[in-house]
Amino acid sequence: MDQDMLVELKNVSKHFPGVKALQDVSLQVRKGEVHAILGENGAGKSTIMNIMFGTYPQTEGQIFWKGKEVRFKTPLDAQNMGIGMVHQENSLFPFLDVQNNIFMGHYPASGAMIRRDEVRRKTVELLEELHLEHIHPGTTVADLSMADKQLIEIAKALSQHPDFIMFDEPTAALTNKETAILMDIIRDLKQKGVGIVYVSHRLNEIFELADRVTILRDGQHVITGPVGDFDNDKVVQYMVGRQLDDQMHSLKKNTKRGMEDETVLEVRKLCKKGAFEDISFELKKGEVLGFAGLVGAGRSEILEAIFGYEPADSGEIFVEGKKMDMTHPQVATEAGIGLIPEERKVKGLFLELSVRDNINIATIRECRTGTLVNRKKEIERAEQSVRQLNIKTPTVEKAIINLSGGNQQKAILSRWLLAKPKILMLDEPTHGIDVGAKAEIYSIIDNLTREGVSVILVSSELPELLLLSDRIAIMYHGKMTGIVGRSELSDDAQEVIMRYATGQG
Amino acid sequence: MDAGVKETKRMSPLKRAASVNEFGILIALIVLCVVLGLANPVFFTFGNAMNVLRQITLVAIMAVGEAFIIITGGIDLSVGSTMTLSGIMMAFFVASGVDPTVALVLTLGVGLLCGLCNSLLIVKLNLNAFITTLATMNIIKGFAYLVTGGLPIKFDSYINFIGNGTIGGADGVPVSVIIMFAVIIIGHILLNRTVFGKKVFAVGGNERSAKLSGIRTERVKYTVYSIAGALCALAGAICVCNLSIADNSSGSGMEMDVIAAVVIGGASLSGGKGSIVGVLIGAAIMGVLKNGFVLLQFSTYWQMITLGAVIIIAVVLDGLRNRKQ
Repeated sequence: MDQDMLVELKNVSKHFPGVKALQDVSLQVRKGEVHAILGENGAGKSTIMNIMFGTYPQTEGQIFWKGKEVRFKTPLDAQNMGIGMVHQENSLFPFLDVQNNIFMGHYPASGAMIRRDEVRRKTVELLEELHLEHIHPGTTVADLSMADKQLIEIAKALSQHPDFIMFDEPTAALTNKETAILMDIIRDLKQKGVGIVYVSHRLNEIFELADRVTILRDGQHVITGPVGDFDNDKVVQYMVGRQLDDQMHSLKKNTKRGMEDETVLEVRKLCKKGAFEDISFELKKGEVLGFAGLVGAGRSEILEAIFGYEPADSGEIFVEGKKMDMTHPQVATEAGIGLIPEERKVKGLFLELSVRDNINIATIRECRTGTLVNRKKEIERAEQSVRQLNIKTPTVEKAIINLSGGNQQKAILSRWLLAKPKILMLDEPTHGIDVGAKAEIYSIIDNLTREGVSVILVSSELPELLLLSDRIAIMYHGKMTGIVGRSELSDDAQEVIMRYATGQG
Repeated sequence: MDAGVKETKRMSPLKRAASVNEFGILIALIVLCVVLGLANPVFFTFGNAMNVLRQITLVAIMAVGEAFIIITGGIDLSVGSTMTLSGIMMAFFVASGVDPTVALVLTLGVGLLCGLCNSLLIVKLNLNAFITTLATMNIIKGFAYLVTGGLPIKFDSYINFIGNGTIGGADGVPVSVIIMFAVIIIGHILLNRTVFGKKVFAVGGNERSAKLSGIRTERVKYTVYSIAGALCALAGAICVCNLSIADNSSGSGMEMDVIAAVVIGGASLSGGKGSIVGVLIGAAIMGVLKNGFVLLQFSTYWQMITLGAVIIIAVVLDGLRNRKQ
C-alpha cells in the first residue's frame, strides 16, 4: 500500500437523468502532489470533484481515502475527513463579513456562545498567512471585488487545514497579480504535503504548477501522466480528440455556406460599464460569427445588450441598416433577433410548464384563431418541432423539467426557430449536454446559415467555434482583442485564439 | 418515423378527468357535500345551495383576481381593504348624487387604481409584493376611514339588485351568484385561452425567461394587479348593495380567505401554477364547511380549526401530486 496515497477513485461513474457525466474513471492523488484535471466543458471535471467532495454520490465505483474505502453522504463528511474544495461559483454569504464567512459551519465556541475574539484573531492570522493582509476581516463580502471574493473562498477552504483540496477554476476571476498570490499559496500547501487537484482552462498555470495531468473527454478518462510528458498541442489534442477533428473536417469540406456580403447586423462602439467596452462588429447574412474568450470576458453581456435584456450604456445597433433602440427583448424579437441564453434553467426554461408551452411562448400570437389561443395549433406546432429537432419527450404536455439537458436545449432552440429569426444568437448552446445532442445542434446551426440566417455563437469550447464559425471574435476582459477570419483559421488556430483570449495576443 | 413523441392521445373521459389538476379537490368537495347531506338533509335543498353560493360570492370574485396575481408569482394582501374602500366609495358617490350605474363604474375604477398603485410600487421601486401590499392594505384601509369618519353610510338605490336581487322569484338564483359565475368563466377563458393568460403563466414560471422570450413582464404585472383591484371593487359593490349599508369592516380579514381559496384551488405561491376553476372549488369547499358547521350546530371555534387544517391538507396533497408527476 502506497503510504503517500491520499485519494483514490476506482472505476467511478456518475449518471444524471439522460447524461452519463462520468464513465469508469480512475484517479489517484498523492500527498504533496498537484494533480491537474483537464478537459473541455462538460468533460466531467466538476462532476469528479463534486463526487470527491460528497456533493452527490457516484453511481458506480469506489472511493478510497488514505487507503480505506469511504462513502460520503454529504460534503460535511468529506470536510470532517480533511477534504476541502474551492468552488467555481461563489458560495459565500454576501451579507456576512469576511470572518463570519470563513468560520461559518466551524466556529470556535464555548457551549452555545461563539468565541468572537478567537474568530477575529484566527481570521487575521489566516489572512496574513495567505498574504491577503489587504482584506479586512470585518468587511462585508458583498463589498469585496470579484477577485477578493475568490481569494476569501480559498481562505475559507484552507481555514480547516485540509489534507486534500480541490480548486475548480480558481483563477477565472483573478487578475495576474492575484493569480501570482494563489500560485504561491498552492506551492506552500504542496510543501506542507497537502494533496491538490487543480482545474483550470489556463494551460500556462497547469504547466507551472502541476506534477501530474489527467485529461477527461466526454466523461471518460483519456490519459494520466507526469506534466513533462505534455505540451500545449498534446493537451489540446487529447482534450478535443480525433473524433471531433474528423467531424470538423467533414463539416468544413462540404461547407459551401450561404454567407453573403449583405450586412444584417452592425454594432458600433457598444459600451456597458463593468461588462464590455467599445465593441464594434458587423454580421453578414448567413454568417456564423463566433465569440471566443474566457468566462467573464463579457461575451454573454454583449448578446444580452444586443437583445435588449440588459441594454448597453452607449453605442449603436443597426439591424439591416436601420438604427434600433434595443430597450427590451420585445424590440429585438420584432426586429427578427432571437437569443438562446446561457444558463438554460435560469434564463431559458419555464421548468414547471409543459414542453408545448416552452416551445410556443415566444410566438404564442401565431397560435391564435381570432383572439383566443387555439390549443390544437399549439399542440401541432409543438409536435412538429419535437419531430423536426428529435426532442425526446413522451408527449408535448410533459413538464419540461423532466427532459434531459440536451432535449431542453433543443426545445428552447425550437422556440426561436418558430419565430423565424434573421439573426440567432446562441450563448453556450451545448453547455452540459451530451455528445449526440451536440452534433444535432451543430447541424441545426449549419442548416440555418444555409437558409440565410445569421448566427452569433458564444462558446467556451474552441473546437466548437472552429467547427462552425466563419469568423471568430476574441474577447479579453470586456474588450475585443481581435477578429480572425476563416482563411486564417488554420491548424494552430486554437493556440492563436487562446493567446488572444488570455491577453497575450 | 419514431421521433420519440406520441401524438397526444385521446384518453377515456374518466382518465381525462382524473388527469385534470382540479380533480382531487373536486372529489374532496363532492365527498364533503355527500357527508353533510347525509348528516342533515337540509343541506341538499335548493335554498341552502343558493345560500352557500351567495356566501362564497365575494371571496370567489376576489380570488379570481388574486389567482392571476399569485400565478405571476406575486401576492396581494390589500384585497380586503380595497373591497372595503370601494364599497364605501360606491355609497359615497351615490350619496353625493352620482347616478348609481355611473357610481358602479367609478367604483370599479377606484379598485383598479388601488391595484395599479400596488403594481407600480412593486415594479418601479422593485419592492417585494408581500411587504408592499401589507403596507397598502393599511393605507387603503386608512383612506376608507377618512371617507366615512368611521360611520356607516346608508345605501339604497335601484342598483341594489346586484347584491340582493334574485332571478326566478324570491327563492330563485341570486344575481350576485350569476355575476360570480360570469367572473369565473371570463377569468378562466382569459387565463387559459388568451395570449395574456400564457404570459401570466410565463411570468410566474420564470420571470427572466419570460423577458428573454420577448414578454413585457412589467406590463403583465400592471394588468393582473389592476384586474384584481377592479374585481375587489366589484365585490365591494355587491357587498354594499346586499347589505344596503357601507361600513369600514365589510372587507376586513377577507384577504386570508381569498388567498386560502386560491391555494386550496391548487395555485403555487411561488408562481407559474394555478387555475380559476380551482379557485371556485376552493371557495366552495370553505363555504360548504362553514355552512355545514352551522347546519350541524358545531362550535364556530372548531370551524376555524377545521378550515386551517383543510388549507394544510390541500397544500400537502398538491405537493404529493407534483412529486408523483
